Amino acid sequence: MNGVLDNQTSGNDWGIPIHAMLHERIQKVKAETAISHRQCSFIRDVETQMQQFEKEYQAAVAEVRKFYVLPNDLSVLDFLNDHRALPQLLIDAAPQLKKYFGDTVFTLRATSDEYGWQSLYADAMWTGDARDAVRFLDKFEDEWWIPNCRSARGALTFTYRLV
Amino acid sequence: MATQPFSWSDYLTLASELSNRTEEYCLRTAISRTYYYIYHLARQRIVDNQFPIVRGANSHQQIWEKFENDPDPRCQKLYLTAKKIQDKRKQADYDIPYPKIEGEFPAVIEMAQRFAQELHQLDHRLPANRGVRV
Repeated sequence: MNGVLDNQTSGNDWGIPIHAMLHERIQKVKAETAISHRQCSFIRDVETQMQQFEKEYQAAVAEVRKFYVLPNDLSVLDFLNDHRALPQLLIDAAPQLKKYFGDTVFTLRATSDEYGWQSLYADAMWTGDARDAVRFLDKFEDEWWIPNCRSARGALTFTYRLV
Repeated sequence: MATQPFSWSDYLTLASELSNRTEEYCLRTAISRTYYYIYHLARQRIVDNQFPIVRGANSHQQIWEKFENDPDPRCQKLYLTAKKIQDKRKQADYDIPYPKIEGEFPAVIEMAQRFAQELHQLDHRLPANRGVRV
């Protein structure tokens, strides 16, 4: 609503002249600088960014599939969807695992215990002596996994299954 | 009737004896007892370090998370070992097929022995309860 205020005076000096139209801006719009553009761009491009994140995530999952065998159901994909840091960790772990386990097949398994504690397991499908698998996992953990496991927040375990 | 205080290490002794048997139920029980041996060792450490354990909630998660969340890499190593044995325990207690279960020995027992040794060697204040004044 527009009010007619130009003839009304209170005797106070308000400093800023009252505008004829109440909705008019009092403050001048600052010229856009590189910094303000960068600050605003987070919100401005949010949808584009979300699309980009999703694209990167799908590419990471596709990369995970190259090294790990996933079950036919959606359990692992759902788990990865809820734990977005894991695909990249799994990708980074792959060459390290290969160093110790060679061509051993790794499968992914999402589990939940009776209290709902969810975990993802990367299992080496091991045909040899279990002690060798433990030894290789120890080396992998000491050299790479322990320094890098923080971002998994306890949700990922590398282990072995005898086949 | 027990005349002496119970020692959780008896679980490992039992597990070791059962692992020499060939019956699957013995081998499954051996894995299960092995896990509970390390679980109780870890639980005692958590209690000693004055961490609260909420009754009715997942006590396993509460205990292992303390090791996982401690920045000391030795705690994380213990956590990773525990998670491997815990996974074997779940497989032994819940999964109908357990392929090559006999092949899990002596690796599982050795992992538990190493866990006990490394926990024993770990500074007794770890995992650290940073809310407690010492």
